[in-house]
Amino acid sequence: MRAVWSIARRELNSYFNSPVAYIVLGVFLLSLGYLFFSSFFLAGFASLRNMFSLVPILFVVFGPALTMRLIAEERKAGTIELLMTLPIHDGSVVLGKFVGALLIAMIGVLLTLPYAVTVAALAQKGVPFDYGPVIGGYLGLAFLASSFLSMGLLASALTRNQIVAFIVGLTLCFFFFFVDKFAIFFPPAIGAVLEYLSVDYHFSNIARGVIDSRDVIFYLSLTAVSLLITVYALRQRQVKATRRAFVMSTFAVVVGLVFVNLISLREFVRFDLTRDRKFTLSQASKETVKHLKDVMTVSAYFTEGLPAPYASHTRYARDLLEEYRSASNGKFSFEMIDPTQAESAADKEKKKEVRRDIFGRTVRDPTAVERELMQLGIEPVEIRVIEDDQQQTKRAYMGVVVLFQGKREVIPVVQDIGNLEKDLTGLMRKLVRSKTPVLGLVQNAGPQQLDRFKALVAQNAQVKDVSLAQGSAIPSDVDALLVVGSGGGLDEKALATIQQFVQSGKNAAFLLDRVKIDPKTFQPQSSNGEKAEKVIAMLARYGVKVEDGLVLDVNCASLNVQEQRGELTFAMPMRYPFIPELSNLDQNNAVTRGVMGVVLPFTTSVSFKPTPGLHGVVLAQSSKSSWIENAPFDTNPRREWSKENIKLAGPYPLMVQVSGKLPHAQKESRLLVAGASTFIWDPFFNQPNQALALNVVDYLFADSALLAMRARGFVDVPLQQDVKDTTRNAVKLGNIFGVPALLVLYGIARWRLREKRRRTIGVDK
Amino acid sequence: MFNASMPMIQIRDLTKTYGKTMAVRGLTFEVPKGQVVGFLGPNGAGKSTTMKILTGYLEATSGSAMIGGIDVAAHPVEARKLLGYLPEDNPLYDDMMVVEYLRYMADLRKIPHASQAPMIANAVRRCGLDSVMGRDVGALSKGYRQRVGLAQAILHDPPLLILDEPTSGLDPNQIVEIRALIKELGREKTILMSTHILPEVQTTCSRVLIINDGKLVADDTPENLVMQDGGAIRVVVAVQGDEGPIEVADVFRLLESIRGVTRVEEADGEYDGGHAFTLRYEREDPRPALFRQVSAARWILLEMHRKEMSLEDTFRRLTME
Repeated sequence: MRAVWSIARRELNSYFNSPVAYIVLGVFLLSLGYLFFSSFFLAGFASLRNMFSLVPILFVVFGPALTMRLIAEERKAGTIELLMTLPIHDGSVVLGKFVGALLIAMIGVLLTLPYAVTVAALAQKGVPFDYGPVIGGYLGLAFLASSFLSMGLLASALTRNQIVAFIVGLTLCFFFFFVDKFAIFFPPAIGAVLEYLSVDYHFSNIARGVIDSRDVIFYLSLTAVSLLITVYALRQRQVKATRRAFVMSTFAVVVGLVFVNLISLREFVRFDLTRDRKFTLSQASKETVKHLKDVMTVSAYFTEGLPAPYASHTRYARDLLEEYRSASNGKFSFEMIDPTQAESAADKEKKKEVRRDIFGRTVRDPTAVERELMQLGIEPVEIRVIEDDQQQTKRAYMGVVVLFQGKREVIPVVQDIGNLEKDLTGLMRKLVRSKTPVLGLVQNAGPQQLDRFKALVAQNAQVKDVSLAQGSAIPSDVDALLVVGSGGGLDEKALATIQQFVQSGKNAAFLLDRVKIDPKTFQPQSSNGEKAEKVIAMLARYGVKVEDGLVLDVNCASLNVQEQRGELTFAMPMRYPFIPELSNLDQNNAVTRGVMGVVLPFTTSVSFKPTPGLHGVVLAQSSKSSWIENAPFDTNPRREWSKENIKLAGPYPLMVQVSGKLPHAQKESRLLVAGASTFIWDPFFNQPNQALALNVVDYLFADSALLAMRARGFVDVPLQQDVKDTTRNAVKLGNIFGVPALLVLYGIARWRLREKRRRTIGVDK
Repeated sequence: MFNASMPMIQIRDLTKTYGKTMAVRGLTFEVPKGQVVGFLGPNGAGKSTTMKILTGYLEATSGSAMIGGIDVAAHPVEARKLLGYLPEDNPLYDDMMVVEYLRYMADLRKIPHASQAPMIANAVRRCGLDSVMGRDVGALSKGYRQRVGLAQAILHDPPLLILDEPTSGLDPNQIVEIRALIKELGREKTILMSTHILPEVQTTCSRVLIINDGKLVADDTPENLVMQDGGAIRVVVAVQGDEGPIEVADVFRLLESIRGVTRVEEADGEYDGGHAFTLRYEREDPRPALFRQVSAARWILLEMHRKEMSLEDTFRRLTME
């Protein structure tokens, strides 16, 4: 061990005492800095991903440049004879050289740490920067470097000519870097092997921020084999017996390592370094697959060969399904299907038959595969790709089908890969559950038109009208309760029933209309404030305060108002502040995620007052440009807003969610309270409102484990918006030239110190 | 492992082939402790190959080499601990300072840190390197380089030194210095050194091994080797006819008839038209009789001197066949 370290240290000193280290590392840093920072601000993301994708290809060249002299030079100078007649093992010599080269390479890599620091500093404020991929990237580079350097060292041991050593090393590194890029020319089985052999493939796995034993074992195997052959090549043995013994032992080691790698594919551990533990299956998902009673089959249809970021989506999906499988009790199986691979020759022909319709658009008949996928419910997406040097739109698939006991659930298109796990687990739970959930609908104070809402919910659940009049109870099969209306019609008995229901751990939503509005005339019919006092009092005990006044918002929907101009009648769109339109909804919350442009007509404000044991979240709020009006209301669309003195005092909370143990409750439950039910009324039930309504129902049905699953952010953190030009240039120049300049300064300082030391040694003796 | 009662070097039936050429063919010899052995042979005779096998740099094709009873092939690391080696052409790390180089070697020799400084100082003093410790090895003169190589070899105070042509390429002054150093080292260590300079062997070595074409052709003290050739002294005589040329056969007849002369050979070289001969003799000095006989034959005696024989002649005779 001491010899290893002595040799490594000598190599290190030798590099830094000569210009070699400064030239190689300097050129490396200059090229990396230039390539990375030239497009850094253009890309606009505070991510080192681009840098980490550049380093491996640079290493293909710089690795062999670092190692070429290590043994070849000793051979040329004859010092190898000295080294190999010392009482140290050949392995120590090789290992020492290897460690020395690895240290230099890592010094070069770690000199890019200023990049990481500046990038993290430039990340948008408030968005946490994920250091996981950075740490993973550097670790991955250490592994990548060790495999490249061991191959370079091997090349250096083969010859006394450094140029030959460089070229042989370059060829080896080049092969193991590019091998997976040729995989498409081979049948899938061979392609998979080629992909596995690629150092780049394994690196990109680690650089995501996941230390996976499979990747680590691959790198260590490759390094071990290279070093082993180097030990042999170091001593150019002339004796046949030794040569044969070596070939046999190397063969045995290679076979052994192949087995280790094969085993590692089945038995592996992963350390997820990412901030959100993006690549780790959440507890809810694990529980779901663990308790499968029957076989569940997942077919994931992902088109291969898509450009970034879609390519990584495929791998993420595969890894995720792999995780599901390993967490399952053997009842979970999946297949990854590339629809283009499944195409028959006839399909391929069909794809070429492109016609143009009368508008000049290209059309073609769907292929058999496409028809099949359509039947499954998988939808194609158009993705821009560069093919045959042309930008084209390519029809790609990114859908998942889950089969369980003859039932089928489909994700037509994976919109957001970060939610794939959540969506999948949600679907699985839906398939696994023993009965269709029942939503109890309590309507009171007026027949609201909820036909469209009921029809929508009925697709996945049963809707049961619940009447609480005359003390009748809630049917026992009701899983969740939706109370719609003023609440005025609910007497004390009814409220007690509801209270009992939620205290038992079931969930309920209250969509309370404090002001009753005729949806045709928009005239407030009456104020049912007094009658609903009891409901309001009950909600107040749960920390929810329901206000009286209507919230009006400058960000609002428009009404078509009939205008008479002479003989003609026009429909004039007029902005109508009584219908606030909400564009900024919390994208991290299960209820409002993926919902945009919801309208909440004639709503009052609903707020949460901190209450012990309960957790409240505001799901929706009006804009800053909103205000409150109290009765009597002037709902005339032709109101002259310009003549009124309006004080914009928003935002006001419009919808809250409360979770936790309610007073006197045994179990935790969830409540959702909105200041109006109008958003699920038929006239207002537009697409965004439908999405919101479905989410609300899902929220009421969902178990808390599923809700606890957070969406994973796969989108890189954006850069700060207002980076000044001077800052940009400082960052660019500082990083591109500053780091190499520091290196040169260090070199000069080191040289001067060494000269000084040299003189003192000469003098005192 | 190291057995002090075993000979320092034991080589048995050693062969080494490079492809089709056989560099060493069944070499067998032993070197007991304390001997300074000169290892002679023409270029390509297998000297360096044998030394490289001994140091563990090369593998033998067959046969065995042992150092202090340790087989160098079976226990290379143990065997190498016992020796200091100065390879042919003295390869060194040119980019290191002398002090750095010696420290590096001390590290690789696993000399404990505490004893490194005194051991390096000792080697430096003996090799006279004090003034160049801060210089780069690559900037040293040939003589100093050789001393650095020697310092490296004796750094760890090994019982055996293997020196492959330690004086080659040096100027006469440097040769004398290095030779003195080796002689001094020979008082306490076993040394196996190869050389081309035969007088060096006569002055420094207690034993000579001569190999030719991979085989041992002589193994003795330098004195005995010379004596083996029938006495160390010759008489060289050159004669010329007084009136016209003379027959060589006549001269042979005359010379052989002289009392005490055992053998007459024609000598090389030009003797101004005369003929030169080398005479071997026993006991009696043949010169007075020679003078008289030549005078009697009315020839002119151009030259007559005694010549002391050297190892060089033995070497030539043994390796020119």
